[in-house]
Amino acid sequence: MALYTPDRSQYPAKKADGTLDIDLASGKYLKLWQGPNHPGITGNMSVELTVCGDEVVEGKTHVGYLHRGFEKLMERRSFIQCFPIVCRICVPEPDFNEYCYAAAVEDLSGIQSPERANWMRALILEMGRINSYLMYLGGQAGALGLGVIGQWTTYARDLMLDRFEEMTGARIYHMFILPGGVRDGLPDGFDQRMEETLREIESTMKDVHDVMFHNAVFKKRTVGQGVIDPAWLDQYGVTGPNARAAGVAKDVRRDQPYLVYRELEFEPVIGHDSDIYTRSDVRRRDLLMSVDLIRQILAKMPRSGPLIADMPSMLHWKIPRGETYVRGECSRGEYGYYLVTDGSGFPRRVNVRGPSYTHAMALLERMIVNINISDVAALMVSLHTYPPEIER
Amino acid sequence: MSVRDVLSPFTAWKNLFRDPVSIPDPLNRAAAPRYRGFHQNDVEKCIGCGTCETICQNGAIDMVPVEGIETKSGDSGLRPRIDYGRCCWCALCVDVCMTKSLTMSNAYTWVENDPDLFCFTPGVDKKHWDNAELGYHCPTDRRITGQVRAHMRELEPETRIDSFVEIVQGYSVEEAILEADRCVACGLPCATAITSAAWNCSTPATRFPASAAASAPTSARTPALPATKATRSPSAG
Ligand code: SF4
Ligand code: SF4
Repeated sequence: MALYTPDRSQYPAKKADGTLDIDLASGKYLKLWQGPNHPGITGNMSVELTVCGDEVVEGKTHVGYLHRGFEKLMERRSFIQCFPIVCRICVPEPDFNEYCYAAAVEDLSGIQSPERANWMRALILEMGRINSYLMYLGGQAGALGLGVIGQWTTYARDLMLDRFEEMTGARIYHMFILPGGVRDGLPDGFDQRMEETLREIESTMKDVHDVMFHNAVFKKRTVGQGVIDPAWLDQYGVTGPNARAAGVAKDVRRDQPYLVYRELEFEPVIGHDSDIYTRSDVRRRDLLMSVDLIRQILAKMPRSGPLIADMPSMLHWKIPRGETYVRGECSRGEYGYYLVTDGSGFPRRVNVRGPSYTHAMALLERMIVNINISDVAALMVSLHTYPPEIER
Repeated sequence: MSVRDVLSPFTAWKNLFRDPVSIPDPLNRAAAPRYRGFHQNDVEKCIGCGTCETICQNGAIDMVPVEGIETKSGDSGLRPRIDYGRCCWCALCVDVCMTKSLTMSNAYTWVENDPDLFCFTPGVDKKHWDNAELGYHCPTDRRITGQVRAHMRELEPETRIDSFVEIVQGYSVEEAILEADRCVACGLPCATAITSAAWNCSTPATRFPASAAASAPTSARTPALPATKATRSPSAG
């Protein structure tokens, strides 16, 4: 295990400017890059570790491997042309981008998306949340050497992708939530197939619970590890399950209900220990809550009525001068779009607030100090970060 | 930590007795009926208006001349050629297609050695998915361009019968804007014959409810929609 020792005298001292006095030539420290191409890193980013023995004394996060300049691209695209771009900002859970972008455009142009479209949107967002959590669980277990969980959750996710495919016409980038509504309604027999999928997911989650959460090794390596101090939540802008695992019931779906969440019954899932285990468990329970929410949505949603508002031709949209911030609760926390328009046919500025930006950069750099090298992957995955939304 | 935590992981072995869940023949797996796969185009219906090219944010569509299709009134003689190295299957081109000739099949597997073949003119270069019934088609009740034609008011027959007053009353400003909004500035003569000048002076944004409240929604830029497409020479790329 770690060469951890309470004797801090062997660790670097702080210089006057607050940086650490690390003398690599002394042979006491070693620089180690984890990423950008590494199974223990979430996506295309890297952490530059300075280690002393097995223990990390400093960690610097590096992004830039995935920069595609979405925000800038959008400034040169008409409003409808931005619609196929936004989903690419977060690969595993693209729908929040579509929803937030559409809602921001609707807000500034005064369009009201029809009731039925709102239910469809909520359904898609909950389906995407399940997918995202399934991917996370596989990653979290995999980071600790428990590869089989990823195989199971990938299977369950694939079933959900089938549902996405039949509903939206695509598996990963759905491009379904148009500003003004959604592209289509539910296909025939969807409810039944969805129910089968949900049952299969529940049964997979039961196996995951038995093998991952009741697992001596997993517990040994995650309980008490990577604790987020509740005092850091506001300091670092921590949201979503990372905050809820620290006992703070932050959930945009309840705090500032959007779409149809006012009509659904749910309580934000919270935990108290704020360690890696609790965060995994909060996400597991949140996933099961989404399963329940999907059932509620399918039971309550209207089956007829318009799916898209009556709007002027999207080829000619010029949106009056204004600015807005729209947010939603994605699987990682608060997802937001800040949109500025200047009365022209193009957005003046789009700023995407991806929760990974705060979680994977400043927070990770703080938490990574004094942990064992072998726990870096588990810690990083436990913050559930997706690099594409860090560098839009 | 309990005894359960030590024993429970071994329940994973039960999967030895489960049937595999993988898809036995992935190459012949049928896509969902709505799947957005490779395009197909009914070249007889298509009028070469180029609206699909205008909306494609990836620049995946080029309008190219096609052997056997002449330029004539109401038809530019060009047809969309799609570069699948650029296309992201967003289907905006299908949604915007003026004649509904452009659709998407649900075919998604197609193997070729030559990458250049992935740039082709649907409907002209024959493909195995041509005339597929399944796939993404723009729903009839939804268009992302203006649908409703503004009707020009006319005098009632009883009034017309004994006067020389102009029968056709013309458009009000609002109606003219509504009608101009339908125009896609393709440059081909059409029944409404809204000119690009009409489009340029229209402010369709005024149809947005929010803009009624906004005091000065001035247009800083006009989207660079080309006034005429029919006369453009196709790009070589
Ligand atoms: S929009 Fe439709 S009709 Fe016009 S060129 Fe494209 S495919 Fe042809
Ligand atoms: S599907 Fe989208 S990206 Fe592809 S050609 Fe049509 S508009 Fe362009």
